[in-house]
Amino acid sequence: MSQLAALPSSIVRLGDRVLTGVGALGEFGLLIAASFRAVQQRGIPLRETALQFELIAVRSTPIVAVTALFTGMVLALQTAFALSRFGAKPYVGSILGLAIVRELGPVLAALMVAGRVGAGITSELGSMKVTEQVDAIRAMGADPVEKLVLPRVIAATVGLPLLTLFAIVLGILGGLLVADLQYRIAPDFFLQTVSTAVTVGDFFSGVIKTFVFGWTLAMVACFVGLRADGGTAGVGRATTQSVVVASIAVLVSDFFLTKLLMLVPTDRILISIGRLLS
Amino acid sequence: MSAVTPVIALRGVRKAFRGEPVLRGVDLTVAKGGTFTILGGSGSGKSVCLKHMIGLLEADAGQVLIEGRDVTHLSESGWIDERKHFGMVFQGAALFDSLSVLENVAYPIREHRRDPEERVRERVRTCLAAVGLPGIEELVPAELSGGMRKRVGVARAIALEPSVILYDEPTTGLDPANSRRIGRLIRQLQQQLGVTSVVVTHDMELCYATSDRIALLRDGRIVLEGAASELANSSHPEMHAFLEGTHESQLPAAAARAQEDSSLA
Ligand SMILES: Nc1ncnc2c1ncn2[C@@H]1O[C@H](COP(=O)(O)OP(=O)(O)OP(=O)(O)O)[C@@H](O)[C@H]1O
Ligand SMILES: [Mg+2]
Repeated sequence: MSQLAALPSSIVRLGDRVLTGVGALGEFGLLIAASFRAVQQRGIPLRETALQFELIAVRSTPIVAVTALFTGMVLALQTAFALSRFGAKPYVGSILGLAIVRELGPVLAALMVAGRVGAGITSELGSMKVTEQVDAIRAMGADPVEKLVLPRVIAATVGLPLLTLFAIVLGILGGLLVADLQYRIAPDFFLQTVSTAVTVGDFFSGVIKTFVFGWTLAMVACFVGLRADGGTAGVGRATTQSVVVASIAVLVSDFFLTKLLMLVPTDRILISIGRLLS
Repeated sequence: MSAVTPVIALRGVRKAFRGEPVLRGVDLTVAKGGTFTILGGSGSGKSVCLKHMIGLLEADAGQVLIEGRDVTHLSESGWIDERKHFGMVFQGAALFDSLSVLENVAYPIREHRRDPEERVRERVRTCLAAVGLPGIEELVPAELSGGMRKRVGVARAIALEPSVILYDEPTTGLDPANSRRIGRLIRQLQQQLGVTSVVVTHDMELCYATSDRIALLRDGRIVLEGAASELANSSHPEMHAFLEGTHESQLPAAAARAQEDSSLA
């Protein structure tokens, strides 16, 4: 104790924060385990999940649409600008297609959803926590993980890949518009360059990541919300924290997932699956 | 009394939050079919005490027994089964903001029974009538006054006809007529259905109207416990101090007069 007291207070505080962080990570693990157990024991709460799907996925389509469309447009401008130096301007579609399918579609959709849905989930569950509504669910013999966490996590896990497909389509559409209007590249030529460059494997590796993103961001948002305390101020803090942590988690896991998927010969696997099926 | 297993018993229960002790060894025994009232100053840990009885908080030390079974460190899924027999009225009502009054009161019924819709609605109607709020099924909590929320909270707690009901300040914020209605409801449930009630309150009228036994919580311990009939007109120093305190804060004029009297003497 006296030795501890001799340590500079900044180090003690740092140690405290590390311990709190490790503790939080442990609790996060417990929530994940509880969510799997709840599915196993009582199945998927279909009605509430459908409702959350509407709130999380369907209502995110406008923001994802605008983001994807304009990103596709600006990407066409930038790519054409860069390619013109090499006299390769007509091949905008190849690069743009690959970039949107493999990376920008998935990550932009995930980040927009992390912002919009992550904040929504955390502030709602946080308010329920500080007004004892979560305790009320428990007191009535129900399970907050089943009632609150599962519907949101499942809706986000299923919804984000669908939003990503939508983002990919609109991103390519944005590119096509700019290529046509600005650079006089015919739409069917543009689409042809896209489809020769992008393989089924590219598509697969882009979309598969978003299952992980959707699950992660909803899980983080629920966890941070359910831990909120300290009244409405605490809910505000939790909401900010949730968006920051979920966005970082998306970006970091994206790098490692991409690296991992590059090790897997997705194209060859998909082709052999196709052969087996036919 | 000792022959019958108590419905709820706390044995030396301790609880601290961030190193600050709130309960320092609480002992109490709630007999079956009775109404047990916990009195105590604001912040003395009454709500914390109640939450231990239904597993919303876990004791740092000591034991919580339900019908003789040790539930102190019961898992959350174990508690889910225990809680089917409990109803709880939260201090802040804790109604679900996103659901209508109907869905709030129906929540425990839908959770634990597979009743046809008409039966559920009938039960909700009965419960709302019992707290003096007939016909408000379609409103949402944001449209209710504080006292109305509290009463909907009571309706929700009794909806499943639990055998034990925990009331955290059920009459705070209610007008006298509705306070008395809640008092009558508590007694009725006890007499007609044999419900065991634990009531946390500052409302001395409610306390004397409903209680069989009274306990006084101070400094994290039960400093006084006894039959309501004995304590009602006792001059026990702890009880006296608690009531004096209450009177002083509620009736500053009376306190001032008392001081005048003593300075004259
Ligand atoms: N979840 C919690 N986290 C941290 N501290 C808590 C928590 N719950 C209660 N406390 C603290 O425990 C003490 C007792 O709180 P409690 O709510 O039980 O008081 P009370 O007797 O019900 O008071 P009141 O009559 O005002 O409702 C308070 O100091 C409160 O700050
Ligand atoms: Mg209280």
